[in-house]
Order: sequence, then C-alpha cells, then structure tokens
Amino acid sequence: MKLTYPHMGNLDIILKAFFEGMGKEVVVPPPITEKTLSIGVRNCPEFACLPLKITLGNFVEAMEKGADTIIMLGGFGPCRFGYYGQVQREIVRDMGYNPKIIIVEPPHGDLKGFIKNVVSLFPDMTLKDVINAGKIAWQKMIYLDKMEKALLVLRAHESRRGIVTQKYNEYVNYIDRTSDVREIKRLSLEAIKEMKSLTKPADTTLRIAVVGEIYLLVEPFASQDIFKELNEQGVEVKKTEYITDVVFSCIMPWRLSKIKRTASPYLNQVIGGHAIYTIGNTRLCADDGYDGVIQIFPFTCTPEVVSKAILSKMSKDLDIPVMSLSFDENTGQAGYRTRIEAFVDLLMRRRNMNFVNTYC
Amino acid sequence: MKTYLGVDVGSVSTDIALIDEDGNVLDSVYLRTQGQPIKAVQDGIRQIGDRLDGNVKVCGVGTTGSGRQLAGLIVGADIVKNEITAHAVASSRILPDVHTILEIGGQDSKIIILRNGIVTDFAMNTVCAAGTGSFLDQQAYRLGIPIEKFGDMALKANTSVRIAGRCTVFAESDMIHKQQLGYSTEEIINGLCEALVRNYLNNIGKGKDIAEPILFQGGVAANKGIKAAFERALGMDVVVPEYYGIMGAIGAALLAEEAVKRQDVTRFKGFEISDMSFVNNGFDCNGCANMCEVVEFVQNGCVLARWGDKCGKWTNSIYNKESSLNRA
Repeated sequence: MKLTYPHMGNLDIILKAFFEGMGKEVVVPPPITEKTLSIGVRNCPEFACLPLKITLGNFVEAMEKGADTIIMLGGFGPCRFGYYGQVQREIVRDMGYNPKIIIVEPPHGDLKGFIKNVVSLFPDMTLKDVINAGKIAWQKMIYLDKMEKALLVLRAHESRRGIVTQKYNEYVNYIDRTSDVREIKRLSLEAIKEMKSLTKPADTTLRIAVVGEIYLLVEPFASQDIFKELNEQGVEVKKTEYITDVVFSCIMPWRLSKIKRTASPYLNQVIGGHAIYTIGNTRLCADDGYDGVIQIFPFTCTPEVVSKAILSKMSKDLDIPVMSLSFDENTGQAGYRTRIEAFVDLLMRRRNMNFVNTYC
Repeated sequence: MKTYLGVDVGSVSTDIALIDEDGNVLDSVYLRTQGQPIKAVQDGIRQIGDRLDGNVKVCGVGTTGSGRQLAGLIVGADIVKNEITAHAVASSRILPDVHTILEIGGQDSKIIILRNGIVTDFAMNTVCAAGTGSFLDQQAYRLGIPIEKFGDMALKANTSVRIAGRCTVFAESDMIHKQQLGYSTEEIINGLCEALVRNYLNNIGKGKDIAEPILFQGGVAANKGIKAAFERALGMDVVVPEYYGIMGAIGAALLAEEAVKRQDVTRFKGFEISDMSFVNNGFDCNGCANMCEVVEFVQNGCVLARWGDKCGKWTNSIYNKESSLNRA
C-alpha cells in the first residue's frame, strides 16, 4: 500500500507523520504548482470549487509517482466538500487510474467513533500504534500552526525581503524530518526566535484579519499567497482558522456553540461551509480592534457568497472596513494586487485620520 | 519654482501632470499608450521637459495606473501608488467634501466612496471590461461617428432604446438589431449610454452608499450622454471636473509632494530619461513546475528590476540591493 492524500497547508507533514508512524509507506504529493492546477481544471467540472481542482491535481501527480491508495476526508460533509471524495473517485477512474480510495468520515463530535473508524482501516495495527503515531502528528499540527501564526506577524517587519520566509521554510523542513515529540516543540520555539531576530522595528503597523473558506485560509497557493502579499506591504495578518482550529472544532462541539452565539445577531444558523466562522470571527476581530477584514473564498462557494452580503452590513455596523475577494483558476494577479494595495492605503489613512481626530 | 510630476500609465492612455506647490496644474500631457508603456512615458516626459521654463525645478515624481511599477522604475519615482488612492487624493483636493467618485476609463471602472476626506469604500470592475471606454470607442468606430461627437448625439435623442447592458458582445448584437428595426442613431446611442450606466450601477455600484457631491472622471467623462444618463439614473447632480482625464496623474503628483516631505531629495532621474535605453527581457525560469515567465527590466544595460516569479527568488534578488520605493 502506497498512501497519498491531498495538500492543504502543512497537512501533508501531519499526515505523513501519522501514516509513517504506523509503518505505512507514504507518497507525498508534489508541491502544488500551475501544472497541478491545470490537471484539475482540465478534468473537473468548470464551476466546481477551486479546492476540488487542486486536490485532484495532487492525487494525479501522486499516482504518477507511484501512489496506489488515496485517503480523503468526506461523508455528508458541511457543503459540496462532502462529495469531493466520490466525485474524485469517478474522475480518476474516467482518467484511467485505478487506485484504492478510502473516504474517512470526520468525527462530528464523536472522537472515540472516529478513532475506531481509522483503526479499522488498518487491521494490522493496534490501538497503541495508532495512538503513538497520532501523538507525533498532533504535536506537529500544533507547533507548525504556532510557527505559521508567528510568521504572519513577523514577516511584516522583515529586514530583508524573503529572509523570514526562508527561515520558516528551513524549520518546517526540520520538523518534517523528526519524530521526536519534544524536538518538535523545541524546533518550533527556536524557529520563532530566529524569525524574530531577522526583523526590524516599525512604528505604525496595520493589523488585518483574514476570514473565509477553510481551504483558501490554510493553503496559500489557492489565494496567490495573499498572506505574503499583505506581509510584504508591512501588514500583520491574523488568519482566523488553522488546521488546529478545524480539528479542535471537530472534537469539541462547544466551540461551534460559542461561535454561533458570537455570530448570532447577523447569522443564527449553520448554513454550510465555514460561513458561521466567517461571520463570528469578523465580529471578534472588530471587537479586538483590527484595522480591517479581508474575506477570501473560492469562486462559487455558496456559504461564503451569503456571508459576503452579511459582512457588508457588519462592516457598517461595526465600523470596520471589509473587502471580499473570490479566487478561481482564472483569477489574474494585477487586479488583486491593486485592490489589496488600495485597501491597505484606505486603512492607513483611516488610522491617521482617527489619530488626528483624537489628539488634535 | 517647486513643481511635482505625476505619471498615470493606463491600459489605453498615459497621462502626465505637472503641478505647483499649491496643487495647480501647470502642464499636462495625454497620450495613447498603444501597448508600449515605456515609449509612452518617455514621449510624455520629453514633451513636458521641452515646454519647461528654466526656473522650474521638479522636486518629486509619483506614478500610478496599471503600469505604475514600470513607470516608477523609468522615472525614479518617489512614490508608486494604485489608481484608487491617486484618484481619491486628486478629487478631495479639487472638491474637499466630495462623497462619491465615479470613474470610467479605457478598460476599467471604479467607484470610490469618501467620508470626511478619507476613502471608506471602493470597488473596481471585477469580471470584465464591459461598459468601459474601449467599448464606446469600438461602437463609435462601427457607426462611423467620431467619439468626441458621441455624447452630443445622445443628448439629441428624445427617447432611448433599451439595449442589453451586461456584455459588450450582446450589447452590440442588440444595437445592430435595433438599428435594423429603424431606430435612429441618436436614440440607439442614448440607449447605449443608459445601458452602460445601468451596468455600472448594478455591478460595481451595487450596495454602495452613493451620495452628493458626485465627481465623474476618467476618459469617458467627456461623454455628455453618459453624464446625463447617470444624472437620470441617480436623480442627483454629477460634476465633471476640469481635468477629468488626468485625475490619476494629478493624484500621483500630489502624493509625490507628500512623500518628498518625508525625505530630503527626490529620486527623479531628470528629463534625460527620455533618451535612455529601456529594454524588457523575458525568460522562463526552470526552477520548478511553475515555469514562471520572469520579466527583466534593463536601463542602459543595467538590470533595474525583475518580476513575474511566484517564489520571489528573482524579484527579491534585485529588490534587496535597491532601496525600496516609498510605499507609505
């Protein structure tokens, strides 16, 4: 069995740790490039969401490298995403490949059931093996996300263009190569310290929160790395959802109730996808004094399109500028850079004006 | 006398404005880019330079428009800013309590909402260039009418014919259909103006808080038919400023004035840039499967900048050696 799975931010490192920890052979899909996307665009329905196309490209490229088993998350799902596994299974069969496809149901609050489910997929493994592998994967997930949180703040102040990203990539690599739980934590903290040493102090810094659909939030390729773009304009970025948050929300159902309460004046039910988090997080970030909010989502993502309209109203009510950007394979670069620059300018001038009004 | 230059390199036109310390326009140039931004900038700068008095000194230069990065490298810009900010700055200087800016250019359209002199909201056309200057140019050509007469003809019509507004391809088919039914050219042109305004208000104007005072600018603002159609659709007065076609360049010059205050000397390379050799080289990077098309910008044999790479290794190699363009 040569296992593969889709790319989504640092998910590949986490899953590699888990499956290799159980002694399984893993074929990591090659890094996402334009070629990956073009495979997906050619073989997927045109108006399907961008993540379907990218992940299909991942599977095809991994199979070209020898993978024969694909693991995918699925089930009745929060939105179209629930059908991805089945649709992708049919597409790869049509393309002439014949992998074994395993679709795993997410926990939905029942962690014990989920673990039993996963264990049953690997009959030659004991619960102990799974838990040990799980510990390493879990640690990598927590500490890689901590590193990324720091990256999105520190990179805004890098003393030379590109060095903080370089350092971050270096340490992601080290963490990928170790299986020692303590070493993972040590490396992550060291990475943050190292990245900090490559920054220079700045006076006024804008802080922007990014909300929206989860794949776009976690995988930078899909959003043309809007986070890097913002950092390079000197803006500190807060990503409102990481892989850690998704996993926590799956196993701790009270998190959903909490965000529902926060979102409730504007949206009082789950409408699919990540919409309730988009609305709730925007409210939290407005309360926390963020300068602005950017919503990112794949073109045709219905829950986010609904959220976009709601965010318009929230922007007026909470007096926080919000900009919505949708992405697909046809998205050009120039128009988005212009809008992002104009948005940052708008926030900077607003800040200066507020300063003038308060102190003069 | 201290003066400031603003260069707006757009897809259709390149405009340059020279202003004095109080923001008055001393000279301006409006050229068609015609797909050659480098030549357009050099020609425009040469024209301004030739007409310049001896006692005038250029103390700052700013660039804007879709070609702002390139123009910034050519002239040695003190500030490179996107066109939304540039337009907003120019408009608030000309009409300090302006609330709404409607801008329709050659290939794009924008709406900017201001309150108390600062931009609070904006939108640019996202999906396509329908309903912009290029479409009007094309229809004027097809009907054999000089674009300058377009607006006057629209005003002559008593009624207007409803024309599909969402897509230029369908609008043209609809116009031809109405023409073959015998409607007069004036009525059809008026219908086209209304369709453009409808498209604009439904697309980028949707949900925006449009209120007076309203400024209408960009090349298309010369068209009286469009101005009248806006006023009918909004039920409000629309003002076309005197320098409606070069507001972007004026804004860039005003931003340059602001930027130079924070530093002592300008980075402007002087009017000799009109005679320098600027060349663009391109190559495909083989570093990974992205196969990015990297562009190299060369001045008199020296590489000034590179861009086009996803990973940044080409861009950053030059960027870090040169001091960054002021992006305050």
